[in-house]
This record gives sequence, C-alpha cells and structure tokens, in this order.
Amino acid sequence: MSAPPQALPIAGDLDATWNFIKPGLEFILGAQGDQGVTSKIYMNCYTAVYNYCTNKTRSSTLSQTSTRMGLEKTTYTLTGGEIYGKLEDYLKEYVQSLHPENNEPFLEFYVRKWKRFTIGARYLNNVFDYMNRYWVLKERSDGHRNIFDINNLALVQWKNHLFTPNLDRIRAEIFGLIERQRNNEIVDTNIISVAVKSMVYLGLDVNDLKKPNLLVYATCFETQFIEVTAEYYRKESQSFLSQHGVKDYMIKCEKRLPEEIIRANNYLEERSRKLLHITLRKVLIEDHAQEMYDQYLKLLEENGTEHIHRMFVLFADLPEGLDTLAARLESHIKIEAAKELEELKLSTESLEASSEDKTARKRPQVAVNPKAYIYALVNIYDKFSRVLVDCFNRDPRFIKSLDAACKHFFNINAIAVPTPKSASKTPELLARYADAFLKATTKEVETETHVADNLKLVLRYVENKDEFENHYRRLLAKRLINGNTRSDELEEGILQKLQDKNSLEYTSKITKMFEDMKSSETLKQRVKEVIGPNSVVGDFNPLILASSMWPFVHNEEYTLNIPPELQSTLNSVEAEYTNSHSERNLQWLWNHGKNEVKANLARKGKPPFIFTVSNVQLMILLAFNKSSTYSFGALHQIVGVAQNVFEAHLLPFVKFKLIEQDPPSQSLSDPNSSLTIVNEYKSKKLKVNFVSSIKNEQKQEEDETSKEIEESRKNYLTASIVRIMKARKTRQHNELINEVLLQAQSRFKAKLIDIKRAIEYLVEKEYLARVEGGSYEYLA
Amino acid sequence: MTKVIIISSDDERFPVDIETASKSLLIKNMIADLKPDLGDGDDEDFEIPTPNVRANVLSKVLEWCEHYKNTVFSDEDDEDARKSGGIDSWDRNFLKVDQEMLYEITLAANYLNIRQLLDTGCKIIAEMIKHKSPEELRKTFNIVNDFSPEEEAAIRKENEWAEDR
Amino acid sequence: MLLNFNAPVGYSKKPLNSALSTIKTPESWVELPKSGAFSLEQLPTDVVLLILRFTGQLDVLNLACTSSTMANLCLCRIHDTIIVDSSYTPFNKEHSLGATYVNLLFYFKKLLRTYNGKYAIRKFSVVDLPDLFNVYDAELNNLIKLFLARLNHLNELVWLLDGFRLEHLMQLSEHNLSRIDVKVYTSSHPSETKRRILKADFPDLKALSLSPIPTLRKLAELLKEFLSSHSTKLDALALSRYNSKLASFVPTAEELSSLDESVDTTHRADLETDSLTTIFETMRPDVYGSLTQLTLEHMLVSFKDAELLRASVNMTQISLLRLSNISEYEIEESRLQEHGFLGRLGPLLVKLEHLQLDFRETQRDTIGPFLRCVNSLSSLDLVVRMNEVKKSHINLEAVYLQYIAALQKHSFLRKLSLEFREESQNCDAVENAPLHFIDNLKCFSQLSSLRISSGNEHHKQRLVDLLRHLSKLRVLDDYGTHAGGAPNLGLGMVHPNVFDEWFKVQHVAFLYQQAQCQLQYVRIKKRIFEFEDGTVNPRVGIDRWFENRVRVLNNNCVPKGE
Repeated sequence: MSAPPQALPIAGDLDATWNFIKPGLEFILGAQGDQGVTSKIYMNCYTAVYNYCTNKTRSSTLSQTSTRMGLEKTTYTLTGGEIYGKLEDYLKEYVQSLHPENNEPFLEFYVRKWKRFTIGARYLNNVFDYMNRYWVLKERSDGHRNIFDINNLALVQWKNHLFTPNLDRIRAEIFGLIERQRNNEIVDTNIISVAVKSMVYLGLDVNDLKKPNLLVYATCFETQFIEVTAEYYRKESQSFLSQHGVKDYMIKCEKRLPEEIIRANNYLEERSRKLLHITLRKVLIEDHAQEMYDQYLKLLEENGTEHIHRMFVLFADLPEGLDTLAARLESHIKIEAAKELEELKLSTESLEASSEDKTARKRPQVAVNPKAYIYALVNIYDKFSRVLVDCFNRDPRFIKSLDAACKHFFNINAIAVPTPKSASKTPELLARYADAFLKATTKEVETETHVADNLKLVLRYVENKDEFENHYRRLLAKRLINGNTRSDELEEGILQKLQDKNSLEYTSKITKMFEDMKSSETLKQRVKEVIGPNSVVGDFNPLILASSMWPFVHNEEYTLNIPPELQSTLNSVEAEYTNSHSERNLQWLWNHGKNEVKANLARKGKPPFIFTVSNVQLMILLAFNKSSTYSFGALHQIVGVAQNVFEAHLLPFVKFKLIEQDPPSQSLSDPNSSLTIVNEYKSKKLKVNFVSSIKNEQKQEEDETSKEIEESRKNYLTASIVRIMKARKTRQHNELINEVLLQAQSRFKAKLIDIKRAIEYLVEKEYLARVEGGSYEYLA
Repeated sequence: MTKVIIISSDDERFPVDIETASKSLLIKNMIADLKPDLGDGDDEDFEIPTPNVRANVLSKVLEWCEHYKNTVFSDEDDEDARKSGGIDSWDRNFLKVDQEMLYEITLAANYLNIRQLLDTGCKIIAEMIKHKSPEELRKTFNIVNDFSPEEEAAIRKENEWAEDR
Repeated sequence: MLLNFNAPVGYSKKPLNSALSTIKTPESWVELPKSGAFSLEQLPTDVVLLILRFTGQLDVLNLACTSSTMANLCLCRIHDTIIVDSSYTPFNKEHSLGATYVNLLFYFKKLLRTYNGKYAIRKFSVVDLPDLFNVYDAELNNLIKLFLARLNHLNELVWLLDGFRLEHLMQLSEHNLSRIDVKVYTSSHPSETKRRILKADFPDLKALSLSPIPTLRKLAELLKEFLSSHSTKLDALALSRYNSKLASFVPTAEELSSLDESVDTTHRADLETDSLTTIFETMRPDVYGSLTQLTLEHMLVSFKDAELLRASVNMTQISLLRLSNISEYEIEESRLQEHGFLGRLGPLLVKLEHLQLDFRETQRDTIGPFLRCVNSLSSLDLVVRMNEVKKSHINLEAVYLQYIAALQKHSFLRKLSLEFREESQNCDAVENAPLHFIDNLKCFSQLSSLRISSGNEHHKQRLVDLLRHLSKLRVLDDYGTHAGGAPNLGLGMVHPNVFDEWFKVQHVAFLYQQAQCQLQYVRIKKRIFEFEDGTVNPRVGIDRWFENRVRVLNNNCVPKGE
C-alpha cells in the first residue's frame, strides 16, 4: 500500500502501531483543544488497527496470552489484546488528567467534559470497530466478561477514574443547584439533567451490555436525592405551617407540589418519579395530617367549600387520609342531623299549644307535622349531597359516608325515636306524609314527582320498609273507603314510582284493593236497581273488601243491631252479592264507614241539617226517631255495641249539644240520667260532622298495626328460612342466622330473637331437624 | 445531491452518492460522526481516504454498492438468514473475476464493513472449496503442505466422526 | 376457473411435459481462473472463519488436511457446533450452515470416546438418532457423562432425544452454558435428599427448556437444579409437561367449566392446578423478571394464574409467547370475574411478536379479544378449539367474525398457521377452516409462510384464489386429510423407497405453484416439494426444518448474542 503523507506503521509492530494511533486518539478525544477530527485521521487510525488485527505473522507468538483464564486453548487467536490493553491505560490516563479550569465550578467542568467525552467515545468505538466486531465479541462469548466494546470501555474508565473519586463533590453540587432552584432562583437546568443522565449511562450490566442499567443512578443519586428532597420539604412545610394556618398551607401545597414534580421530571428517570411523588406526599401531607384533620372539622361547620375541596385533592392519593376524612364527614353529618331534628321537635312542641292543625292527629307524645319532618330529612340530605359534589367530587368513599349517616339518622333521631328502645317512627311518618298529599282535603301545592322523589329518597334509608308499607296500606284503605283520595291516577302514579322498592305481594294487595273498590261500584249500581227508588236509604255505597287484602279486622265489639228499616237494604245487598259469589262469606264492619243523615231539627224556614255520623251514631239517632228520651242502658241495648264503644260514639252528640243529658253528670252511663234529643239544633254550619271527634281508635289501631307487622315479619322469616334450607340442605346455626339477616335486610331489620323463634317454630312443625354439632337439616 | 469522494490507496478519486457509500458501515458511521449535516445542501464534498483498497478493487466494490444502493437488506443480525440464502445471480456474475480479485474484493468488503458483499464473497470461495481433495485444495489455494503423511492420516482418523456419509 | 385437485399426473395416460418436471439439474460448479500466488492462508483469520462457516463439513475436513494452520482453523470450525441428527444428508441445503452433523450412532460414539478437549465445542445438539440408542446402556451413559464433563466452553446444550438424564451433567464443572434445552428423563420419585444433584451452577443461563415433567414436585426440583445461582436471570423459559404432541383431554370440557363442583377433592389433587404456582413461586422473583420468551405446554390455568404471571414476569417485555394445550378451568370465583386468563394478559403484551396459542376454554371465548389487544404480530400459530360446553355459551358465527376482525389487526404477519379443532367425548378432530376465513387472509400481504387445512374442492378453489394474492408467500403447508384431493385407489403401489406418496399429491403441488410462482416450498399431506427454476422436486429429510418454518416453535427464537 502506497504511503499517504503520514506513513502507516508496519502492521505487525505493536509499538509502531500504537505510536501512530496515539496522536489521532488525542484529536478524537478532544485533548488537543477542540480541533475537528479529519477523515484522514479517522481512516488512518481505523486502518492501523485493522492492519494490526489482521496481521497473521504475529499469531504464532501470541498463543500464550490466551491462557489468561488458565484454560488450555491453543487454537487460533484473534489479535487485539495488547492494543486493547494500551487503549485501556491510555483512557485511564486521559480521564485522570482532566481538571477544571480556573474558577470553573466543578459541576460545569464535569458536564462540559462529559459531553465531549461521550462524543469522543463514540468516534473511538467506530474507529476501533474492527476490534469490536471480532476480537471483543469472541472474548466475551468465551466468558471474559470484563472485556468491553470500546465505547463501554471508555465509559468504564470514566466511571472508575473520574466519576467515582469525585462522586461526593458532584452530588453535592447537583443538590446545591436543585436547592437553589427550589428557592426560586434561576439555574441552568441543563447541567443538572446532563449530569444525572451521565449516571444512567455509566451504569453497566457486565453481562449484557445492551441493557441499560440504573444501578449507578439508583445508588449514587436516587436514594440521596429522595432524602435531601424529603428533608428540604419537611423543613419548609413545618415552618410554613407554624406561621400560617392550615388553609394557607394547603394553598401553598397545591402550588408547590406540581412545581416540584414538573421541575424534577426534567432530570429524573421514570422510576424515580413515582418515588418522588410518594415522598413529597408523605412529607407535605401525611406528616401533617393530624393538624389538617382538626381543621377539617371546623371547615365542615363553616362550609368552607373551597378549602375542603382542596384538602380532598391533596389527600386524593392517600387512601387512609381519605378514609379518615370520610369517617369524620359521616359523624359530622350525623351530629348535624341530630341537631336539626332536635330543633324541629322543640319548635313543634312549642307550637303545639297554639296549633289547631287539623291534619296532625293529636298524639300523646309529639305532634310533628309529617311533612315538616320529611322535609327536614330531605333537606339535610340535599345539603350534604351538594357538599359531596362541590367538595369531594362525588368520591365513592364519601358517598358511602353520606349513605351510612343517612341510614343512621333517618331512622334514629329525636323525633323518630323519642324514647330509647321504641321503634323508629320514620316509616309511619313517611306514610302519613304520603297520605297527606293524597288526601282530597289537602291544600298541598307539591307536585306528584316531588312527592314521589322525596318518598323514594327517604324510603332508601328507612330500615323497616315493611312498616312503611303497612302504614301506607292502612292509610290508603281509609282513604279509599272514605272516598278521600284526590284522584286515582295520583294514587297509581305514586305507587308506580315506589314500585321497585316494594315487595311484589304488597303491590298485588294494593291492586286488589283498587279492584275491590271498582267492583263495589258495580255492585252498588246493581243494588240500586234492586232496592228501587223508594227506599229509606238514599244512596247506599256498599264496599265489598277482600279481608286478606285489606288491613281491617272484624271487631267483636262492634256487633251492631240494625233497625228493621235498614235491614232490608242490607239483606238485598247481601243477596245480590251472594248471587254472584256463592262461596264467600260477608261480614259487616261496622267500625268503618260514614253516613249522612238528614235531620229535621232546623229552625223553621231553614233547610234540614245534614249530619255526618258513624254507623253506631246512626243507630243512636234512628232510635231517637221512635222516642226522644232514653236512659243510657235502654239506648245501649237498642244499639247493641260494647259499652266503651257506645260511650265513645255517644260522647260527640252530648258534646255538641245534640243530645242532652239530664241531669248533666260526669259519666255518660249514669243510670239516673236520661238522654234527650233536642228539638232544635243550633249550629252555624249546615253540615255537621260528628265522626272526627271519636277518640278511641288510635290505641287500638296502633296495636293492630304492630300485630300485623309482627305477623307478616314472622311469615317472612319462616319463608326465608325454608327457602334457604331447601337450597342448602344443611346449615350451621350461625350461618343460617346470618343468611336470614342478610335476606331480610332489604325489608326490615330482623331481630335475632325473632329469627330464633321462627327456627323453633319450623323445628316444631317438622320442616327442620336439629342435627348434632349445632346445625339444621332440611326435611322435605 | 451531495457526493462523497472516496480516495483509493493509489490516490484515485471516486465520487459517489451518500446512499451508495453508506452501504459501507464504516463510511456510514464516519459520516454520521464527523459530518452529520452532510446532504443538507452542503456544497463541500467530503473526502474519505481508504488506504487499504486499491483503485481497481475499489471501483468494483463501488459498482456493487451502486447496484444495491436502494436495497434494504433485512435480518442484519440473524445469522441463519444470512447464511442460508443462496447466491444472487447478479452477484454470481459480478464475481466472475479471477481469484485474486475475488479475494481482494472480499477483503475490501471486510475492511469497509459491507456485510452482504462479504457474505457473498465468502460463499463463492466456499463453493470453490467444495468437492475437492486435499491435494486439489492445496493447488487451488496455494497452500503449503507442512504435514507429514502420518500427521495427515492422524488428523483424518481423529476426526472421522465428522464425516457425513 | 375451476381447478381439478383430483387428477394425478405423471403416468402413461397423463405424462409429465417438460414444463412440469420433478428432476433438478445439478448446480454448476464454479471454477475461477487463477492468477498470482495468493494463498488462502493470507486471508485474515476472521475472513477464513467466515468462509469455513459456509463450507460443508466434509470439505472442511479435506481442507484441514492441507496444512497445519488450516488444520487449526478448520478443526475449530468443526468442533464449534455439533448437531447429532440422523436425518441429515449433505444433499439437503436446509440445515444450519457452519454446523457439523453426526448422523450415525457409530460416529456419535466415536466422538464421545475420542474427544480430547483441544478444540472447544460451543454448541452441542442431539436432535435425532434412531432407536438403536438404548437409554439403559450403562456404558453409554457413562460415556456421555464423561464427554459432557469435558465441554468446558459449552454455550448451548440441546438434547431432544429420549434418554437424557440429569446425571449426565453431574460432572460438569466449568462451562459457559447460556442455553439448555433438554428432554430430560426423570423418575417421578422425589429425590432422597433435598440438595441438588448437580455440582455446577449456571449463573449465565439465559434460556432454559425442560420437558417432560412427571410431577410438579419434580418440576420444582428441576428448576432448583438449574436456577439456583443468584445471578441467573432468564431470558427464555419453556416448560412442557408431556413430550407427546397429542393433546390430552384430562380434564374434559365439562369438568373444566366448573372444576370445583365436578371434581371431588381426591381427584382434584391429580389434576395439578398448581403448575404455574410451582413454576413461579418456588424460585426467587428476579429469576423470571427479565423474561422475553415464555412457553408453557400442557398445563391447567385459571384467572388467578394470570395474576401470578403478571406479578412474576414483566409481560410488557415478552416477545415470544407459546401457550400450547393450556386449559383454563373455571371455579365459582372465576364466574364473577370480568376477565379470564387471557383477558388479563392481553393488554400487557405490547412487544409480542411471535405467538402460539392452543387454548382450551369453556365458558366463553376470549381469544378474539386477546388477539385484538396484543401488539401487531409477525408470527401467529393459532389453534381454534371448540367443544360442546363452549358452544353452548357462545354464538359460533359471531365468534368467528370476531376472530377475523382481530386478525385484520395483524396485517404485517409473516408467518401464519391456522388449525380448527373440534373436541368431543373421545377425540379431537381437525376441521377445515371456514370459507370466510380463507378469504379474509388476503389482507396479509407480507405473509411468507402459511399453514392451513384446505378441505374439499370448494375450499381448495378459495385457497388457490388466496395464493394468487399473497405475492410474498414462500412456504405453504396444507395439512388437511383431503389435501391431496380425493384418494385415488388406482395408484396404490407398495414398493418402498419410491416417491409414491409424493406421486399421489404432486398434481396439487403443481396447481399451487401455478397459482403463486413465488412459492418455494409446499407440503401436502406431509410430503414436501421444493420449487426451483420451474421444476418441482420432492424432498425428504427436511421435515424438522420445514416444521420450524411454518409453525411457531422455540427453536427459531434463540436468545440474541451480545
């Protein structure tokens, strides 16, 4: 090969080759100032290396070098070892010779040199490519893991002789810069990122050169970085918090956190980012959690929506924090609710004295307007619902808190549970609220949807849904027979909206009730024809009700004696009905029903009065058709009902001066006094109502209601136990109870003792058998 | 289109496109290292000396590069794919030169790191080795025999297991 | 144009014309003019080694006899990679170049006896030797043991023949093993001691493949033998419970669909639902942390195993995944889960390139969605399985449409193998691909190898139509039972060593080649033809190589060197 200006060395001569290459290396690595590398230098170096490696004359004398590992392998050898060795030493010297210029900060020097060095290393890698291709590959596949390709060799030398000795200094300066940046000074972020990145490149996995290795980065930078960061922010947060309050602190956090993260992402590796986030969170938020919790309660009371929301966002990544917030929210809601309902109760009691609200029945303990009560509940719910949206972004945890709180205070509060141990009155009040809306006499201006929504909402949280259903049915029945409903459509509308909450049998019962009303209507038409126009009874509205569907019970105390003039009508009705339904029994319920009677007791010239009276009262009045005076006992005998009932129905007449007791006495049943009907009745109104003043129903009704509820619950429990056992065949005692409780939960809160009783009952009836070990077996 | 000028060991200049020249990994890397902006309207031509390659060899090699300048050779790293492909007919024709030139081209391909050309050259030489007795091989490839007949027989015997019959 | 797949050619009534020929002309030998005194020895060592890699072993031996320098180089090349394969003939070019093949037992034993360690053996593969090889021959086993102990530079050990025992490695101390792929014979007795048998550690082990594994306890033991070194970080792992290619249907589809109810506890223990648990929980976690290739064969899995897999392996790095005869069983808990085994792994496989999937499931079909969410594949080997239980839960048509839609995503597929199988009480029948599947394969313009079962006439017409569109197709494997057209009773000849079977199906090969002139290899009903320069040549002895080309197996994805 002919000689270019600079003669290529003799291929076989190591020293000549090396001396030839060395000046080139200096150019490549940048030792000679920053003069560019020419293609000539590049190619010459490459060629020299190539020639050296491919030279065969040396192979025979080199077989000894391959016994490095002590293995006997005297086959061929690829040359390259010595050049590699010389290069290794050269790089070491070069790296060790690097010094910062005067007054140059060490880190700047490091970064500057590093940038140039990596470029140089790359050139070097390509110049020595021939060695990489063959010799290095062979060595590595022979297991000599400490032979690297040239690029990595350079990095290794850098690491061992420049990086590691100066690590502390480099690190300290990096952290210094970062701290200044945190203190809002302007720094050269590039230096930081390049320096950190260099650590990533310096991490080498000796076994697999291609895989990036974060070992160096992790041990030399990451761990300390996290520590320093934690320390810095710990100090900052503590000082700030002690000087300003929690509210301002949160505002500052909100700002600082993203700032730091954005800044750090410039130089941090992927894996550190998460770590940083966690650390920051801990130091800034977790460590101060307690103070923030305390502030939280105050904020709730003050309705500091914005601050609460901020706190929520800050805690968003800390599940325990959020749990605490949610728990405290729940207790707060409960307390607030209890307070409000207590207030309502007190205000009602104070009003009671002056109230003549006819829609509120006078109750022995508290006469709370159902509507007011329901509204109070709904308002609390709405208020905190808004809080959920505004402050907590509808986070499911907090929704759960609200639910739990509502479940609690809807059922247990000052009004619903006036004395401990008494059953919650909420279901009843809810039913009455609905009743108030659906009664014809109502003056309500609510819309149907509004009412239905309120009903649905409260119903969701009511524990004993079956109570509500029961009350509702009773009130509905009363409305139906008293002809009180506003409109059938409204009734059905409301019912439909409650559809999904009610049990199937319930809906069917109600449907039957409506049906009964309709068929009674048809019956009435037929009866009218039969009776004819000349009957004493003007307009007879018989209501035939299926006894199982309606919540009415035949009351023995009400066995009424019917005077003959009415009897015929009744008989024809019965006959008519039995015609179409022969297998059915009819029983007249005299405790329900209203009558309108024309009373010719008016002054002359004025139209006759119309009295609205109950059945018993009707009989009393009819008796006075025959004679104007009776003694108590005689009258009683004519009418026939039980004495207390008779007294109760008689009382309004006396009170309203229709019947006079002569002489007046304390007790109505005084045998010495006689009862006389007046000749002329004084009243301002044409229509007088004597029904509503009858008192004795309430207690009875209450008892009836609770008995009914008990009964239906017992049935439900037994049915559910049978169902469970049928599917499972055998069950442990405790498991069975748990399952029953679970099933009943949607309807009512079952009591353990009731379940036990139900089980006993079933065992008696031989549906279940007791088995050893405390379990039960299903008997088919 | 900017060209690079490849200069042979006997100072002959060969201007070629960058694409053609980049078939040689050595030249490609050098351009990337030293003149990364080459081709962006740079008017200066980049000179690359190749001290180990004579002009006649270099011209053949560049002819090969020019022919394949738009072909992408896949499976660069997959050894089996490299080896098992047959010899392209254009290549076979191209390498119908005398032995010495064949060796020189192969060496040049090794030097300039043109993998496909190196493979092809080696495959052709491998074909020349086929179906020859040791004596014929010595003749064809100018190998000096430094074995005694006993040594030769010993080698045969030792490695008998590798004979595939 | 309707093609006739049932009409053989090459006999008196239908002679072969010159355009269709099955005889190949020999290669022209190269003889170059010589000039000068350039000697082969003057070439640099690296170049000579490269030339030797392209040279057949017999010629290398001849070259070795020429001079001592050549002998050194040549013998290095001879010993570097040794493959023991009886199906090797020097006339086939489809073997690994650069390897030395041993195809006779006599030579194999000679190698075992005479190897003196002078030249390093880096890769040693025993792929196939005829049944003369007696596994209980104590002398032979001893030979093998001593031989392996001398292989101090061994990088890769492959032993796919029955008869390999762990004891063979007992004396191995120094080695460089980075790949071990063995069919190891172990008894199912647990070992008496808790300690390992092998002395050596395998710190550099990168690829491990073991099969068969008689019990899970044995599996744990085997894993401990190989993966006990602290620095072992596997790149590729392949574990197969059975050797045989036949799928086993224990448990049946009904049992799979509700395992906890249909199988009582005593029988449960036999079912080995803990395969994955054994693999991944008995070893240190970082052993599998950098896996890029994973093969599991003949195992039971549930959705919980998917979670285990996710925790132990970085699924986002997986580039080769083979799930062959993996059955997913359902228990009560799994019914509440939204995603099954595949559903949990699919979204993570963002670097997947090669996939083999032969997956049995019962309650639902999750393969369509799985294929849709993995990365765009370059090789896919799919077995579509239907069984009675599954069919009662899904709409077959809809599921097929799902598959087709999912396949469209992988439009850069280079290799595709499709099988359709129907599981029933006693057997596992191969079905033909539904017609619309074949049609939809036209979108794979990059496809270079295809394996499919054409069925009757109609199917074949469609297949031919498809072939016309796939201009990059080089290899076709038509494996259906009707692949050769209707059976032709008139051609039942009984002479061995004549290419009868090829004869019966070559007409189909011709037709395929006409449809797609770029085709190089076609296999019809297990007979391979090669197309070269217009001729159609029957080929023998390259079945393993062909199998590698058309299916996704472990061998073609060896860990890359550095």
